Amino acid sequence: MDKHNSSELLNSDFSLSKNASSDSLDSDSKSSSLNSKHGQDSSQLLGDIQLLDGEKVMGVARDVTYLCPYSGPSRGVLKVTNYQLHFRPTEATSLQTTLSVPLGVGVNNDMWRITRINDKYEICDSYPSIWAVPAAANDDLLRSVAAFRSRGRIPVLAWIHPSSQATITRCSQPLVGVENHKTSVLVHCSDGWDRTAQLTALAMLMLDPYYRTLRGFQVLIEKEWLAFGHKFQLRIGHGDERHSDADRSPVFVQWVDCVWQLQQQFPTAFEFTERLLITIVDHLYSCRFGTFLFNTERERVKEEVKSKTVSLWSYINSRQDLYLNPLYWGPSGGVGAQAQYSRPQVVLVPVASLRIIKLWKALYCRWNPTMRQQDPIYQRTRELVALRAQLEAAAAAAAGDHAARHRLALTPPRVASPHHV
Amino acid sequence: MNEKKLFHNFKSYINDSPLNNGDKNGSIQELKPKLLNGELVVGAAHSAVLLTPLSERDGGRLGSLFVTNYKLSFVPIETSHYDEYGQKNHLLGTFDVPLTGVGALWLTDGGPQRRRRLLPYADMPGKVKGLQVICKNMKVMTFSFANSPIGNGRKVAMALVHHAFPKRHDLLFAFEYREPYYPTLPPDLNMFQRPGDWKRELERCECPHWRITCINGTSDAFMLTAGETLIVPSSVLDYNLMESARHFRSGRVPIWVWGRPEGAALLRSGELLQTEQSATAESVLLEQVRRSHPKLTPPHVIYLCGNSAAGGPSPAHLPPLQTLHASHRKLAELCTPTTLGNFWLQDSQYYSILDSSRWLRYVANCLAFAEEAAAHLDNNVTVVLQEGDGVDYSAVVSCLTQLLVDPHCRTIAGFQSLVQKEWVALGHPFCDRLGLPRPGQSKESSAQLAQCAPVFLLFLDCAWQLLQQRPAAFQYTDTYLVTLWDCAHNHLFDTFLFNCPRDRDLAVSKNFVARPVWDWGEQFSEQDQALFYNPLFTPDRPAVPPSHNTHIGQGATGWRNSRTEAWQGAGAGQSGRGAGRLRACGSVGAVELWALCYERWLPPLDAPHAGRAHFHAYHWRLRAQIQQLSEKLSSLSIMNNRLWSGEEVPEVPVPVGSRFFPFSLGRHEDLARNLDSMQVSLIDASQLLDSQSLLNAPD
Repeated sequence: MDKHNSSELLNSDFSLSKNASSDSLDSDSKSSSLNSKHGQDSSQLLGDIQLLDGEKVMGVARDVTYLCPYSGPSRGVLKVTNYQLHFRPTEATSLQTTLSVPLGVGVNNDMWRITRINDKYEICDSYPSIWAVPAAANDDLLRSVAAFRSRGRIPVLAWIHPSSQATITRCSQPLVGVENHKTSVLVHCSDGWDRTAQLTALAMLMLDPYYRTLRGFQVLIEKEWLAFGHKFQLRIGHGDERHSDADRSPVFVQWVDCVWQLQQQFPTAFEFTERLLITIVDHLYSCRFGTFLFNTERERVKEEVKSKTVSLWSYINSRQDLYLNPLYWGPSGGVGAQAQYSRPQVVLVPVASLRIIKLWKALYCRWNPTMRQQDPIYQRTRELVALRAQLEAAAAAAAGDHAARHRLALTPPRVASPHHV
Repeated sequence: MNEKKLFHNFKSYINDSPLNNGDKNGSIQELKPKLLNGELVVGAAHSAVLLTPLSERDGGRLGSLFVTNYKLSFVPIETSHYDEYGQKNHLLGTFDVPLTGVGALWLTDGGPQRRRRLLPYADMPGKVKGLQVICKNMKVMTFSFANSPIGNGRKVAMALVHHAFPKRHDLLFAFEYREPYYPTLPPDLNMFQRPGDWKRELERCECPHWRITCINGTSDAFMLTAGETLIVPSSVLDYNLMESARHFRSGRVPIWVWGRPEGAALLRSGELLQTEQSATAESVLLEQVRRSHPKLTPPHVIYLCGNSAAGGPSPAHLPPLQTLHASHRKLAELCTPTTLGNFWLQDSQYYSILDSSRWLRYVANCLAFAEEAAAHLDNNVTVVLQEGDGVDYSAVVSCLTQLLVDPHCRTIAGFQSLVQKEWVALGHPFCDRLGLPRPGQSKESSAQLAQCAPVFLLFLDCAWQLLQQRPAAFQYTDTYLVTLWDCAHNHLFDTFLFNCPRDRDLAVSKNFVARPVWDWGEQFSEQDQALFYNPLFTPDRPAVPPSHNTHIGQGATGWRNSRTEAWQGAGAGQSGRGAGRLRACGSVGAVELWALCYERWLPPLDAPHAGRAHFHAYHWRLRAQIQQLSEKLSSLSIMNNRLWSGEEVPEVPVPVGSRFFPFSLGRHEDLARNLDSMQVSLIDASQLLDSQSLLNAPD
């Protein structure tokens, strides 16, 4: 229900970014062959640099030796653009490869109501402009409560259980109650934008299958991280060179790691694969998209991020097939008649023992050939799924022929098999 | 909810004094274990409680504990349909352990806390309140005799100590088992028992420059721990072999185990003895090996445990057997916490304990050696693996190398043939390594303990790492590998029961019935055997065409892709076999703990919907659907003139297993709802095989 709402909240976002991305999509398709992040075409990568729209070469150095920690030194041409550092070896052997590094580092419920009290970001400049708050609290009350909260971050609704109406609310200070099962939970930390975001977003992933879909996951990040003001600029340090800044902290990356751990424990519960997570982390640092720029929604509005930059989501949504998990049998799967939540895997209860927590080699160790990770299983699964589809089509066609031959209009042959992958 | 009920039921039994409750007591007395032909009960404790492992409450199951000459058997007074979940063994019940699977015994006060280790032949205290059994496969069973009739606990503990650690090899139950055996071994399994079996292998590998010698089956035998058939360079004379053998440990001259048609071969040998002419003897033999190569390429020798000439062992080498044994003990300790508190205590320093066991390092070293050997074979260079007595690590690395270079070994039949060749025929001393008494000798406990080492497990672990790295390259699953390890402790079968073929032949000549473990129907239903087959497997997959690479580079950039290509197309230029070559990753960072094997008995790690089995279930279902569709298609094309009813393909329910399916059922309550669908969802092995052949059929 609330997801209805949250996507409505986001709809403006999405339509805007759609507009913004309509040209970006073109540029994507033009540039997709060089698009290292999608890795669609490896032969291009070994060639010369190919620039994104708006990307310019700012400097070139020839006869540079790159000391690769794994394959040893190689000579080549180093180019710096306004987006990336690019190195191409001059003598191409199988071991020496091109290097490309980006420079940047709904509440359908009468207990809760929507308020636009923060429309101008005056009550709380790090919260979004629209909040869901208890229906009984009028705007005057909210104003007075905000005065007693660190940085005006009052408890607002983060998630509501569709049937039990139990909620997760978030804010900056004191604790009201913590428990699972049909009890409302209020999560807070000192300022309410770091640990709070991690916990609320993880809890929502475990509780609500919607957020485990490709679309729902984007909504989750937009809502819990971006709208509620996780200070990406401060924590990541986009475009500044104070590398030892104590305010820098990979809070968001740690959360993505937690999501990956959940994926490992429940390989069929997520609509997307780890590839989505890796892409998000890569572009958290790349500064190619506007999504993670600035600290708050207010700043993003002020800087016109939506009209001046392309959203990471439009980039991802333009090639959804790359991120879909063929093993997914989430709640929306199954044959039509099945109710949305008929699948058993609604709530994920992960094991928190260290024995289960693994190092995310595909993210952290991907450049180290001696730590080569597992072959992707998905490829094989996709082949099997494709074969099934092929047979289904063949069976349907054969049955169709048969029916046509016998004019059996009354008993049209049906091939029933789930189409949920 | 269920848990509470269980808890109360249990409590009520405890509170009933067994003496005052004649009725209930009577029924308990009637509990009987399921006995095999020739099996006898040698001890029993009634009203025993099998404690729930790693639980905060002291819950458990009430029943009777029996010790027979074959197994330790717990028979619960109330059966639960959960007991029917997972792998069922025709020979062993859910709560049974073969006596040779018992690793250590501890006395307890009736709770999970250990009091004192119970050593074989040591004094038994007057009263035994509780007993903890640590199995060799890391399962822990804790029994309380608090409510048993007086003396029952002591009786059962005595029987167990006496029978689980027999002093003579012929006291093992395999010699008592009276059930007639009718072999139904698969025809493509090579047992490597007769010279003809080795000839088949030479022909399969197309290696004409090697010859079979049967001298080891005569009175001139020089390699007593190997079978009668050996394969040696064509040019070497039997007389030379006998001469040279004196300079090698256990007479282990280099012998052929595998080869390529291009000429390179894989050989195993023991270390050289420090005799005066040993170096000469070695170079003479290696020269013969060189001459067996059509291009006369000299062989490359890999010293698995280091080479004193080259400065002794380094961390990259494989450790002495005692060190491996100690490493495994540490690993086992980490995987067998007996209380929940201990579980979380270990958890807090999990990775440092795991690292200090060094187990994963040894696993990685084996893989690295195999990769090195395979790389030499790729270059058409013959490899000689040299190690100790030539029966331990050389078997591990030799098998792994063959898994990398020979696609046949990645099928179930090929893998089983490989174990027969490298472990059984070439005489890995299973009795010594698994801690069984040696045939013909009474058990010298201290001397034999030093020989104890889980070398075969090390191999299975490495094989699992390869499966983990290449999930679609092997016909078998991790369930198969774990089952094989469990069977190594089931001494009903002869495969892992002898030190060498000579001992087996001697026993057979005295009317011992050899039952190879490979006759899986003896133990498992077709449904359980179906779980041995990897639904992702396609034999001999050609190198993936470049267009498919889009799916591979998950998240990454250029050189990831080029790496993938290098990996898949490895050695493709090297004529023929290149396509079937797998690369192993032998760095310690690339290996993982084999959770299904070592952690399956830890309920806190379990969760429904989790784990590999859950996700393979999806693939099995896909295979079944593909199979059904293709059947439908073929029936359509045949019955074109008949009316087709439009019958629907039934959807196989999605199983909800535990993480460690099919081996353990950790938390009953979580599975209550979905258990039925699990049982329906299993499909039989024949169907799975059919669909595999369908997938492999050319378009």
